[in-house]
Amino acid sequence: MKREYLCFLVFLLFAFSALYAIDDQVYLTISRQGSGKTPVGLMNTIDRAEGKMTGLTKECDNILGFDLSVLGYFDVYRENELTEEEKMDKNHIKDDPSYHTRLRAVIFAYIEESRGGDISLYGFVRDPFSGERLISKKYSGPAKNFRRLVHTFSDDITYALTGEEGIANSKITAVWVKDNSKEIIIMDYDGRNMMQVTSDGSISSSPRLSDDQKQLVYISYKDGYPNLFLRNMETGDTRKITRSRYTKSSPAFSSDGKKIAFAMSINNNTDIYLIQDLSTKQAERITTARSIETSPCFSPNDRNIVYTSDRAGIPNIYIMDAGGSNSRRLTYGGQYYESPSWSSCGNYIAFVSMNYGRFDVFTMNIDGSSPRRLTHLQGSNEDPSFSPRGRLIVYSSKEKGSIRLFLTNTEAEFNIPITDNNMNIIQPHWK
Amino acid sequence: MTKKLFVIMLAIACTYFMVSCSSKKKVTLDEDTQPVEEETFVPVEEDIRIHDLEDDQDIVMDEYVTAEGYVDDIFFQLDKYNLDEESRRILDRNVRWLKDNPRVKVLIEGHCCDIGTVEYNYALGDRRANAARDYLMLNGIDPARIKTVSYGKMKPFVLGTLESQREMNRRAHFKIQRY
Repeated sequence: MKREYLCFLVFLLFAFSALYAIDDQVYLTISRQGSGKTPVGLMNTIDRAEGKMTGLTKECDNILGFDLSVLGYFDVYRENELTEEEKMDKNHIKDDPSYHTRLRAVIFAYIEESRGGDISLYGFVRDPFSGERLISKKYSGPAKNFRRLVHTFSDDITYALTGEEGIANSKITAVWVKDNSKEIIIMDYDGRNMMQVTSDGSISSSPRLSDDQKQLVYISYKDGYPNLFLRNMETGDTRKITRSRYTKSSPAFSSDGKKIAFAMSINNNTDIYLIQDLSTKQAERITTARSIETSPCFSPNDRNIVYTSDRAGIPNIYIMDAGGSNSRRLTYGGQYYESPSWSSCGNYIAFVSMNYGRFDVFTMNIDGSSPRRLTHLQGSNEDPSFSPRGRLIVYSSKEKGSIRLFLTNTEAEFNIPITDNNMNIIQPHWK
Repeated sequence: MTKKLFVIMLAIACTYFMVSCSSKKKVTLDEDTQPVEEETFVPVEEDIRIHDLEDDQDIVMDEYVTAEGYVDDIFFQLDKYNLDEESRRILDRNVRWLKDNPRVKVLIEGHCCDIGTVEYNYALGDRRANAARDYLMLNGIDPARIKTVSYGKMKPFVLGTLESQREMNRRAHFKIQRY
């Protein structure tokens, strides 16, 4: 009976082309009615030597739970939410025709700490219907990289069950607002593992990582005037790529990491300039209006640039070809619109809209249609930036004097703070 | 007849090509290695040309000190960079003092309040500083004596979100070079 039902379901999926193939593998998502998400069971992680849960195993469960829930693909059931049947292994399943489970996959892991200070994570994912192990891997590394081991396991789970690359090892760069300076910081996408990149005691802002996370471009006033700096994130070498008194802001890498667009004010006119080749020290002016043009962001295919212009009196979002021609206005609501961020899957632009002196984060289609408000918090919500693959958005929210970073998704299903009240952090950018 | 038309169209095409080229001159990013004559990238629609000096000695900010008591700061409305009557009166006084002290150089910092985005406020601060600079230049102050820098909303004078506090941050701040 069960099998017949499944066959019928598969047939239906074929009929409506809901079956999709990625990398020659076929992924069939069977999900709980209504939620549209894949139900997975997350068993408690066990310390292999002690045979029980420890502080570290609980941390592992928390990281896995966050990584798998926040993406929006999965309904995560913790072990205490599962029936005895759902926890059972494959031998029981084969023998019992009445076996019933809500789950599409069961995730379980062991942790082993070795004497040398290394940690190993044994990660498994089991298909409850076939009993087959979809993932059976050992992740090892120094204890300080523990979170990274777990994030890597999360990404493997995401890939195995959805066919899409995970984002648990992505990075967010941002600006730490200190009393007398602004410094660039970098953190994991969950706000943890925060590290300071600059310590110039000056104003640094507008950090942008290249897609491969290897290069960072930012603005620094450390030599008196705002100039663009390029940092190699592997070696730490930092190079000043502009050297002039003109005001420069909002650098943006092209997706291939070879070009940088940025805003520069020459003779009281802020326009967008494009550095075609980072070795030449030449920039081409690509907007020509007398108004302010700033905040460029490349489309994922590098053919277009979305940017802000106040040529209509107040800042609005525009789109143009990457060479500067064929400019079209996207926002017409009569508010102050700024900070466009193009989703890396290509179909949305996130931006901010001002309302009574505070901002909210919105998304719209790339033709300007279907604007959708994502934040309804009290404070001012600024600087949205899409995650890799475009499912999530990070933004800064200023409320009661402190500025924290929050994550939301394109459906605005949640707003999760990822940084603390005791540090003011602005200008997040996600790669 | 068709030949004539062709020549005219060719001429139009050439003109268009020249115009579109002229609006996309390359800009050298490294001011230190940039000779003066390369300043030709300044677009034709600009009404004021800066005579940018090559002496980058005074590029260091530390040489400038707050000019309180000598010249005064001016303030702006939210998201505006135009000079009101009060600002022009203050600037007239600043012009007189700068004329009386011809060796003094001045740095004008453009500042914004916390309303508005970081990036847009960099551009707005630039306009505020330039509005003050343009006024000094039009009233006879040698542009070689004036430098500008925009801090946007990144270096506020007062922290806080009260309107009275925000007003204090929407300003062009004057610093002078000490001798």
